[in-house]
Amino acid sequence: MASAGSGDEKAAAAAMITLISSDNEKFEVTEATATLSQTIRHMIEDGCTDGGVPLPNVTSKILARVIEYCKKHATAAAGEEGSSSSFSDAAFLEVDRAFLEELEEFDDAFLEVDRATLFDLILAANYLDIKGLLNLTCQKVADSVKGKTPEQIREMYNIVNDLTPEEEAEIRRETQWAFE
Amino acid sequence: MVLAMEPPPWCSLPLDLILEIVSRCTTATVIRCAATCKFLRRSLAADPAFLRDDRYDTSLLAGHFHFEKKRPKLFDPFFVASNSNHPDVPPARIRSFLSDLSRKTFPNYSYKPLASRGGLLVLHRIDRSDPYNTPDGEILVWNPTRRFDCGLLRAAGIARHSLPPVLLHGVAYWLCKDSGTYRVLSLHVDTMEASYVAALPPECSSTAVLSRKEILVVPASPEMRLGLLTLGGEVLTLWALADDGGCWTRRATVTRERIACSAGVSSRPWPFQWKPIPMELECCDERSGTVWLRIPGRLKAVVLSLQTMEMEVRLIDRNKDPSIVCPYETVDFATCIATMKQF
Repeated sequence: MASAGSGDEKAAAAAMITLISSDNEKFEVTEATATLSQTIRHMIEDGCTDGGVPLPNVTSKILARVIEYCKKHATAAAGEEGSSSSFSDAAFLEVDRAFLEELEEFDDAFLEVDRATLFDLILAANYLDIKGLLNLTCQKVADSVKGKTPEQIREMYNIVNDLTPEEEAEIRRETQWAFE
Repeated sequence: MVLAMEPPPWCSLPLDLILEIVSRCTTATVIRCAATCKFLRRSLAADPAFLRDDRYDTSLLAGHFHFEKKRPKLFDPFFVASNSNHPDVPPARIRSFLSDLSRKTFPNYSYKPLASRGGLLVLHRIDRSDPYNTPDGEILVWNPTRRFDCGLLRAAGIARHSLPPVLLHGVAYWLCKDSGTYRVLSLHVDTMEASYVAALPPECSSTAVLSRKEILVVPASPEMRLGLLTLGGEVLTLWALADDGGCWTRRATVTRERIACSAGVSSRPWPFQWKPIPMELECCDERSGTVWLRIPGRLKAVVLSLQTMEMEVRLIDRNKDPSIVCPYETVDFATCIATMKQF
């Protein structure tokens, strides 16, 4: 049992992947963390990760945050596998629930960023194909515009109003209920 | 020189990501986003197909109309908003629109909602002075979200209690009785071709086994295939018609016991101790995928979600008739966005 465990650890330690950001900074992560990204998973499957994975669309600042997210959620994924295979008693479920709550708190704290960073995270999540992160960040933007007037949305997201006052009035008339 | 960090414009994201965000917003929010600039407006209208992903959307259900038990002709129908505060249509607006209609526009009539679809409401206009309450009459089509959109047409022989058909992918379905068996009639709206769909499952095809209030045609999630709800014996069963239209399969079941429990009805009323708890299927709301269930003799109704089979309880006013309800669903995303005017 113990020897099998340490063997697994060795295997995991061996499978490290190097990610290279657009500004040439190198990040070393475990394969379990990296494969949360479908894009990187495919690269690993194709065996083209030797010498590091260049990610020309992601800056070191954003990549660091993405890795932070993946590390946390990779442990969560590993935990889920464990619970389905061998443990199913109430005590373990209790631990599971606590962990899920912790994960939720992590996600909330993770999203406490300025809008420019949030957009960069969306672009990175899309490029790296990380479903969970894309969902999380898009939902954050969707929530931020909820209940806001068009003027407030423009201000929040720096959108230039190119509609004439007459056109705006017509839009309001057409779908008045949505503006009440 | 220090430049202030400006937030990036939303439109700097690729279109598929803009749509990704928008698909997580409510309809009202999407309409407001589409009113910020021409680019967003055009982009959203260009591909409304991304929103037409054939799923139930419970947020579309704004509420239900009820009627006075006594003297329905004298009082306007009463609107009860969904429990979840509806983000898209303020309940007060719907409540006031019917009374405005009868007090200001046509003061001698009262109005009875017959059906609603895509945000439009079909109303039966009843002459308050008509002593015979003739079923023939005038039909109004009203859009509660726009005050002055109203069409009037005369229609003969409106059966007052007949349920509106379920409309799926351009085909309308009605439940019919045909010499002791239930059958489902389909009508293609484009070609006007009518035919019966596959025979119902044997345990729920006989009119002797199931009463008219124990069987209801519904859309079955998530592909919006034709479905059927039956209250046979102790369980409520959701059936779905197979893709090839050949046979019916069980999708989900809930026991009457659980439905009653969720409504807080624990004891079976005398003389029903040894019989199934009486329940009635009232109506179904197509796009939101919810069904209105009633327990006779109780001032409570259960709103069941076809997607999750979860239930919500609605209290019914003592003076309202819980057996006549009409659901009201607001217009869905895709329709709303596809009809937006471009500049």
